[in-house]
Amino acid sequence: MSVNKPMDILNQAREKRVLIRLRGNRRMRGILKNYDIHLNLTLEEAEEIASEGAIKLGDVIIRGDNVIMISPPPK
Amino acid sequence: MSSIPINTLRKVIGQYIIIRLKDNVKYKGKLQSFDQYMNCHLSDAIEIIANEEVARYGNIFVRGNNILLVQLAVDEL
Repeated sequence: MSVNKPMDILNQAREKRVLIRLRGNRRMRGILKNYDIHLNLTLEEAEEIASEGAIKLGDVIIRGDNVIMISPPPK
Repeated sequence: MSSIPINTLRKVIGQYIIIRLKDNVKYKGKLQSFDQYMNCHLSDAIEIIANEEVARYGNIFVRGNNILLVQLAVDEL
């Protein structure tokens, strides 16, 4: 196994605004506060990115099994 | 003798791969790392839906349970 682990990029993305793709064709954006091995996520200032625009959700916990992809902001 | 799948994946760290997900979305990028769940970190990634590039990301984390297959030895872009 490689020395670096994929979770490392999530650790580096803490307190940053990340883009998340979820099951059911949903996309969200929010400030990543914390995560665990299941990819349960706590987000602040979360918003769902819908075709009608962004829907503000405030602080949320996302259950990890819905997560498909997470992208931290470009440096 | 060919190695077990996880070792084959280890050998292509640093190379471009295409990850095809169960929902038919594909991510092409440079494999940086993976773990025992096949969670993957790709850099210079593009998102491909219906053979069209729809987005570019500097880095992405893909949760392993969504992966259908990994295409090895693909061209850079």
